[in-house]
Amino acid sequence: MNRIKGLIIKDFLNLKTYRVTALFILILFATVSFINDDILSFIPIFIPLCAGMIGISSFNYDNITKSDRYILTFPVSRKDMVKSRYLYIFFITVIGEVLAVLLSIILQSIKQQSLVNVIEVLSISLGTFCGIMILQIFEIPIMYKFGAEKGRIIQMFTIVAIAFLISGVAISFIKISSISLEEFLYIMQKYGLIILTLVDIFLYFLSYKVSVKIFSKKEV
Amino acid sequence: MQNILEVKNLSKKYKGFELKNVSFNLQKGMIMGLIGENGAGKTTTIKAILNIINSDDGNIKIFNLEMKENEKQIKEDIGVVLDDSFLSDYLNAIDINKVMKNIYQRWDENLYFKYIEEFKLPKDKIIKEYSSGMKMKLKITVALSHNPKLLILDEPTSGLDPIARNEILDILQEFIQDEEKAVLVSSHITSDLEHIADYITFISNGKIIFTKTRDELIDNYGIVKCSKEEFKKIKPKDFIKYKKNKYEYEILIENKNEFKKKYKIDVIDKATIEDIMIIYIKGEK
Repeated sequence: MNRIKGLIIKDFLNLKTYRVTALFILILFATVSFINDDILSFIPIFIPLCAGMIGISSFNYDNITKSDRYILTFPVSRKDMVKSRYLYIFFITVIGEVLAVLLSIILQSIKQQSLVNVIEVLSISLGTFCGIMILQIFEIPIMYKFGAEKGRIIQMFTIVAIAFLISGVAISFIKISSISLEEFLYIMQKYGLIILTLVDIFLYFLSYKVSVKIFSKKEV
Repeated sequence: MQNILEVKNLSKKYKGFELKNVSFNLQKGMIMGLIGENGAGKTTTIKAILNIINSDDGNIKIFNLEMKENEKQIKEDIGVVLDDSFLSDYLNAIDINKVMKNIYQRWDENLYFKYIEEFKLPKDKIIKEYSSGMKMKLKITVALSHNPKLLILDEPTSGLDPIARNEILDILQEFIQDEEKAVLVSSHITSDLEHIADYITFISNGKIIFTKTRDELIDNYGIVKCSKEEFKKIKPKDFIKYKKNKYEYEILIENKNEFKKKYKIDVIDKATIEDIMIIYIKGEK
């Protein structure tokens, strides 16, 4: 476990280069949402999204210096490397999410100077978090399969494909189960987050397994 | 003497290149130089030894343990320097210590910073701002700081000035002083290996041409320079290969003394490792 910790520390230390950019993005988002009086549809969505993107960019750092090859000379397995990458991306997205929640609550309380709807902030944040995780479920194996360069391009098509896939699944579900759109939306409103969270956890694990398989066969 | 590294029939096929049945042993207290032209298979051999690439066939034993079954245990005791890869350029020496102390069980922080001081490496400068020599010294520092028993270095002196190269060669020689450790170092700068290597393994086109002691190569091998007429009198079995130059023939022979006696030739030039390599690759038989 210590070795995995070492690899995660490596990725976090690389973040030093993002310090100024991250602070700039944070201030920019905070200001724009504050002025537009649109805190909840901005901060809990874009800050975690940026955090997730920064997490995925760790593939670029390794690609530039071919670090994967060097790390394989350490007493770490390929499985350890994939595990550490998943954990790092997960942690950084969580950090982004926590930051977004705190910032949303602070900005809302300044703006409204009344009670802040914490449940609403948390629901939006959890929804966004699950959405980002769905992206990562596909993005990470793509990065392992095609590398950081090609992966970035393929990833864009994947986002569109995921959107189609999710709508396809939803439409098929409505058709097969012969429930109306209103009923479906009601179910989603009530149980959507729980369903999404459970599906995410399962798919994230599956994505990890796929990445291990891809990386085990990859010539670095 | 006990083998630290045993490579047996290592094979790996790529499109357009094949590593064929590479075998050699490295003993304790020895430095082995792996030589060969660019693309000969030196780096592929090193990567296959370290299990970075999956070999198609062959067997690797390090510290008398099978590599594939004991990879993590073995790698705790190996220090590696790769020519073309390292940690991110945006880390500094202090960051690297933070990472590496979690990676190796026997990472010696004090030793690491002792080397950093000794090599005059800036602690808080990011690697991107290091010169090539400084970067290589940092790579070697990392490779040495968990007290490995075997050092494997791929082209550690390429692109460095003579002073930096010399410093690195000194480090390698010091490393094997206790006769318990060994070094496998690949280089196409053969003069470096002439100074430090006890054994030379020559690889060309994915095949091992020979593994010989440096002294055997320097003391016995020779180059005979002669005219076309003189060359015709020499039996093919008495030389390894020859190279036809504009005005003369250069013949690579394996035993200077025997050749002198047989052909009554007084002047036979010493063959450097570079000469041997060039005539083997470019020469004819």
